[in-house]
Amino acid sequence: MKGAEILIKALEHEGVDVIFGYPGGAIMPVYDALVGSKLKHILVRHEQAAALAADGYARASGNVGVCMATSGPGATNLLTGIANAHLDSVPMVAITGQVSTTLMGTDAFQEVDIFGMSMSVVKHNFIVRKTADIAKTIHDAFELARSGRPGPVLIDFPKDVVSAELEDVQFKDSSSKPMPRPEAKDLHIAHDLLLNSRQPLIYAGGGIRIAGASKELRAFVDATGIPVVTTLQGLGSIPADHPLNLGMLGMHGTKAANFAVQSCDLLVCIGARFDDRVTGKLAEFAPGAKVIHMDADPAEIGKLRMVQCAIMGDIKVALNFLHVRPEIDFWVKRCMLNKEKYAWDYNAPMESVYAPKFIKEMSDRAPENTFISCDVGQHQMWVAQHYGFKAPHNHLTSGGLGTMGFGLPAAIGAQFASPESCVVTVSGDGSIMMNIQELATLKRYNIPVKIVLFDNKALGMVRQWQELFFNENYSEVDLSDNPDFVKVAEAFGIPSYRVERADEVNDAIERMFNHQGPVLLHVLIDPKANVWPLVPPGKSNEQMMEAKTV
Amino acid sequence: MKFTVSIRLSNTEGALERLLGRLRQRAFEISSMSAERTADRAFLDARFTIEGSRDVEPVIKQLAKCYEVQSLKFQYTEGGAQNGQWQNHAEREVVCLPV
Repeated sequence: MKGAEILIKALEHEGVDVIFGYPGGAIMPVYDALVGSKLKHILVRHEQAAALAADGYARASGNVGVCMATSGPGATNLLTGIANAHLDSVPMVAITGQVSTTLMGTDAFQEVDIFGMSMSVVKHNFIVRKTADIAKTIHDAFELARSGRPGPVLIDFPKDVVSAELEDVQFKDSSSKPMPRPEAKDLHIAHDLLLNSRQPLIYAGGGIRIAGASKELRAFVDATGIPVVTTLQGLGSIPADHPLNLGMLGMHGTKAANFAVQSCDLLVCIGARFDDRVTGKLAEFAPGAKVIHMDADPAEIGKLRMVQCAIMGDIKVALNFLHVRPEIDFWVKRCMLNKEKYAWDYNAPMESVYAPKFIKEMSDRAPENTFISCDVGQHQMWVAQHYGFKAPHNHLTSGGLGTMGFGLPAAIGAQFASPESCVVTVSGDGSIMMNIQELATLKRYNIPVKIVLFDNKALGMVRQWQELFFNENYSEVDLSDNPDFVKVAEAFGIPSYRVERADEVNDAIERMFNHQGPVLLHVLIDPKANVWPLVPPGKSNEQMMEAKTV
Repeated sequence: MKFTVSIRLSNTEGALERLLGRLRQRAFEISSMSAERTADRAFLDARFTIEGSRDVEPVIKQLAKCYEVQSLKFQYTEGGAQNGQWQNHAEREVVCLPV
C-alpha cells in the first residue's frame, strides 16, 4: 500500500467524512489516493478558506475538522485558519504536503518550513519522515486535537514519504483521552465559597460548548439561582431568554452584565480565560470578587487573575456537584432591575435599516437549530448582542484571532456538519471581500448558506475607533467604491437582492429563510451607525460609553 | 527574576525549538543552556537559566504543556520566594502524547 493510501485509510479510521482542501504539487500523491475513497473532498478556492471551513465544521459538529493543502504557499495560506482554531480551542487536523525529504532544506520549489512556521499557532505538529509512521501519527494527531483543551494539529508529509510502498499496516481505532474528575477537595472549597457568597456571578465561556456542558450549566444555574454573564464564545451556553442570563460581558457587553461583574463578591469562571476584551482594565476587573476557575487547561489557572479555587477536569462533574442555594435574593433582584432598566431599545425612528433590529427580527424568525456564522467587525458585535442564541454550537464567531473572512468558509463547514439545518453568515462589506471567492464553492456544491451582508461603505469598527479615539482622523476606512455586491453574487450564480429601507426588512428575512439554495442579501445600513455600549480601551468595565443619539 | 529549569524531553523533531519559542514569545532571556541526549536516544535532558520580568509560574505551565515534556523542575535563583529550592512541576494537561 502506498503511503498516501495509508494516509487516506487512517483518516477513514478516525471517522472523517469530509475534507476541505486544495491540491498542488507536493500533495498530489494524496489527491491521487483520494479518488475512490469514502472521503468527501470540498474544493475551496483559497487554502485559508479550507482551514476556516474545517474550523466551522468542527465548531458546528463537535468533531475534528480536517483541511489539506500543498507545500509552500498552500501551507502558508492555511496558517491564518490554523491560528484562528488555536485561539478559539477548535479541534482541527491540518495536512500539508512537503517537498521530498532529500530536497528539504535546499530552497526547493514551493518549499517552506511549515513545521517551524506553524509551531506557535498549533497545539502540536509533526513531520512524518517514514512511511511506517503515517498511520500512528494521524491517530495521535486526532487524539491530541480532540482531547483535553482541543486545538489544531498540523502534520507535514514529504512527497517521497507518501509515495513509498509499505506492507502490513496496522490502524488503531479512533480514541480520545477521558477528562479526569475534579479533585474532591477543590469541589468542597468551591461549595463553601458559593454557600458563603452574597453576590455571586457565573462567568461562562467557550469551554461550556467544548465540554458539551450546556445542560449541566442550566441545571447549576437553576439550582443555585445565580445570575450568569457569558463571553462571546459562551453565548448560547445558557439560553438567551433564560431569566438569569444578563447577557455578554466585556467591551461590547450589556450594562447589566458589566455592572454585575464589577459588583459581585464571587465570580465563578467556567471555561473562560479573562481575555482582555472581557476584562477591560485587568486590575479593575471584578475588584471585590473571589474567583472559582473551572478549566481543562492548568496553564489558564492564575494566568491573568489569581484564584481562590481552581477546579480542573470534567466541568460537568463539578457543575453537578455544586448545587447549593446561597442567600442571594437581594443581589438577584438588583441584577434583574438592571437587566430591565438597560434592556435593548429597538425603536429606531429612521427609514434606513437598523442592523440591531434586523438581527433581532432574524433571530425571532429563524428556524430551529439555525447556525449563525459571523465575520469580524461591527456586525459581529451586533450579532453577539442581538441574536438570541439557544445553544452555543449555533454561534460560529472568530473570537480570539478576530479573522475577517471567517464567516463564509465557516458557514460552508457548518452546512456540511449539519446538512439539514439552516446556516446563515452575517458579514460586512469589509470582511466579505476577504474570502469572496468562496461564493464559487457555494455554487459548485449548491450549499444553501444564506448571506446577510451589511454594507456601511466603510471598515466600520476601525472607523468607529477613529471617530472615538483618534479625533475623527479617518485613515483608510472608506469603502464607498465597493463593487455592486448584487451583481457580484449573480456573477457567481448566487441569487441576490438588496434591502435599503427598514420597511423591507421583514419580507426580506422571510424570503431569505424560504429560499432553498444559497442567497445573498445586500443590506444597506447607516454608515455612521456604531456599536454601543463600548468600554474604551484601557478602561474598567463600568466606564461604558453610550450612543449620543440613535 | 532569575530561575533555572531542568526538563526531560522526548527526543522528537522540534522538541527543543518548541520550548525555546515559548520562552522567546514571553520575552524571557536565556542566560545559559545545556542539553544532552540520553544513551538510549529516547530523551533529551535540558537545563536553562532564564531571566525575565514576568511571573515565572505561567511560563512554567506553558513549558509543561508541551507534549514532549516528560518531567520538569525549576528553582528560583534570584528574586523568587524560595531561592535555591527545586520545585517539581506536577500539573500537566490532561493528555500526554505516548512516547
